This record gives sequence, structure tokens and C-alpha cells, in this order.
Amino acid sequence: MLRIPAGLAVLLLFNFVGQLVAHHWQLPLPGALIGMVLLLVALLTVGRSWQTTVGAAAEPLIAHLSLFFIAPTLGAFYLADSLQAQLLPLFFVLLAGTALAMALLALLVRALASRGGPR
Amino acid sequence: MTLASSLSAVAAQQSQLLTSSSWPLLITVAGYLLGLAVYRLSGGNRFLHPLLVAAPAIYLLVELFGLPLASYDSGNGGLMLGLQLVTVGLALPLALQARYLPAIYRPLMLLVIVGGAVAALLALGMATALSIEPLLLRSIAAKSVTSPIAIGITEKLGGIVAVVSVSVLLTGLIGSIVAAPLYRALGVDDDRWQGLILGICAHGVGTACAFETSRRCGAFATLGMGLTGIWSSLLLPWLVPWLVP
Repeated sequence: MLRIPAGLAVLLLFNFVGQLVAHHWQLPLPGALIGMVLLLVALLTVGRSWQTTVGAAAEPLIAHLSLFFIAPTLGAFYLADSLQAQLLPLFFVLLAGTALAMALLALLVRALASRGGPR
Repeated sequence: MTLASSLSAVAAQQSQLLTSSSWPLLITVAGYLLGLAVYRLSGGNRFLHPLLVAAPAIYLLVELFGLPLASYDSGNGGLMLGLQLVTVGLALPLALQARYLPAIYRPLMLLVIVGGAVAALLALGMATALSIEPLLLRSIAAKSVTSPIAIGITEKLGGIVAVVSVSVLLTGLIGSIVAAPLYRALGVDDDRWQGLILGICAHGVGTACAFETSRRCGAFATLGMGLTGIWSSLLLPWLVPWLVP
């Protein structure tokens, strides 16, 4: 039962180090992301045996991912009128942009496959 | 001390907590539970994503109690720490799928690098053509990135976190709807590449969709999502200030 607090401590530690690195070198990257990359490197090298420990804390958090961005999302109801008027064209951009990007990648996969790439 | 006086003391403490910081937190968790309940009752209908139910329900509650948005936000500060910890925790699924990497890392990296750039460039280009405001452009650049990372990137870009949060969710839904017909039309029948494209373009929602195809499809989506998150966090802070005035 030590796994959950131990896993939480690992997440807190890597987040703290990530925030520290981002702040100290004034990087344009989110500190938590630096923490994630550092933890990834650790899990693949020195920390192979930590996976179950980290998982005990990380898996329930990831399972309820949306809980953590409900509060920041609420601001969407309080946008200025000038921005609200542009939400419909914005929706169109998301729709067309996502479909087009996926189509381009699908074509790229086909091109790679025909050259004997990914298969 | 009598039981009654202890009870009233605890009740007084609790109500003080409720009027200060835990009140907004309670609303958020209750809204999430409602969203989750509706999602489960619908049998996992993608359009009833917990966030799509929770956010409007919480908006109604916040308005009902006349809670100012600023105090609602500050009351949820604890969840922002949670968001950072989830971001760090995403290293785990990525580490678990890393064994697929060595065999195919060249085409995989090519797809992630092209995909991350194309997703942002297409969105920014089309939005510019429709003369959408620069503030909104900065807010949608990270639309294909998984939410916790997208929120971090958008804060750095000076965009609106609420807009990117909704855009990310919509992008995920759109991606998982168009995926199957698109793959059929363009003849992408290998589940590894199907998953990878879903992860790159449609992050977590797409990854959930990929796991419905097969475990391997979901594993590749996880890789695509994680690597696109890392790549976008390097690319966008450099690309967006250069493209958006």
C-alpha cells in the first residue's frame, strides 16, 4: 500500500524539478512537460522497476483526466462578445483542419508504404 | 463537551470551508460526477463526453450562486496542481509503449514531426484566411495536443486556456468520427498507422477510439499522442509568435 503515496511523491518530485528547470532557464516550455520528459527518460533507463509504483498514482489521475481541466474550461462561457462572434468560423477551422491533417498523414503513410517503408 | 456542541462546532468549521476555498472545488467535482454519470448511462457515447455535460452544468451553478469566475478559479487551484501531475504521469503510458519504437522509429518520427506541424499550420492558415483574431489564433494552435500539455503550451503562447480546452475536445471528437471513413477511402488498413494518425491528430479522444480497434492500434495512438505533445511544446512557442502578430 506504499505504492500510491510513493508514486505520488515521484510525480510531485518530477513536476517540481520540471517547474524549477523551466523557471531557472526561462524556457518557453511548460514545467510539467519537462517533468514528464525527465520521468520518461528515468522510466526507460535507471527507473525501469518504478513502473508499477508510478502507475499506482498516475493511472487513476489519467483515468479522470477531464476533471482537471473543467475549471479552466469554464472561462469559455465568459468570452468577450467580439470573440464569441468568431466561434462558428473557429468550429469550421477545427472541423476542416483536423480532417485535412488526417487525410494528409494517411496519404503520407501510403506513400511510405509504397516505397516499402512502414510495412 | 456534549455531542451537540461538537457537532455544531464541526458544522461551523465545515460551512466556513464551504464559503472559502472548497466550495468551488465541490461544484467542480459534483459537476464532473454528473458528467461521468451521464456518460456511463449513455453507454459511453462520445458526444456525451463528461466535460461537455460538466462545464454547462457548473456554469449554471456558478451563475445560480452568483459566484464570481475569479473566485471559482482560485478555489480550484488544487486541481491545477493535479493537472500538472497528470501531465508528468503521461510519461508512464509512453514508457510502457516505448518497446514498439526501435523497429519503426524513422517513419514514426516523420509522421509525428509532419503531423504536429501540419495540424497547427492548417488550423492557423485557415483561421487567418477567415480573418479570425490573433488572440484566438494563439488559442487554437495547440488544438491537436493532449489537453494537459495543450493548456501549458497555450499559457506560454498567451492564448485563452478555455478556448484551447474546448478546441482540443472538439478536435478529438472530429478526429475519431472521420477516422474510419477516411482510412477506408484512402486505403490505410494497417492498424499501427491507423492508431498513430489518430494519436497525432486527435490526442486522448482519438486514442480511446483507437483502443476500440485493437490494443496495438491504441498503443500506437498513445505513442503518437505523447510524441506529438513533446514535439508541439518545442515547435509551437517558436512557430506561433513568428506566424501570428
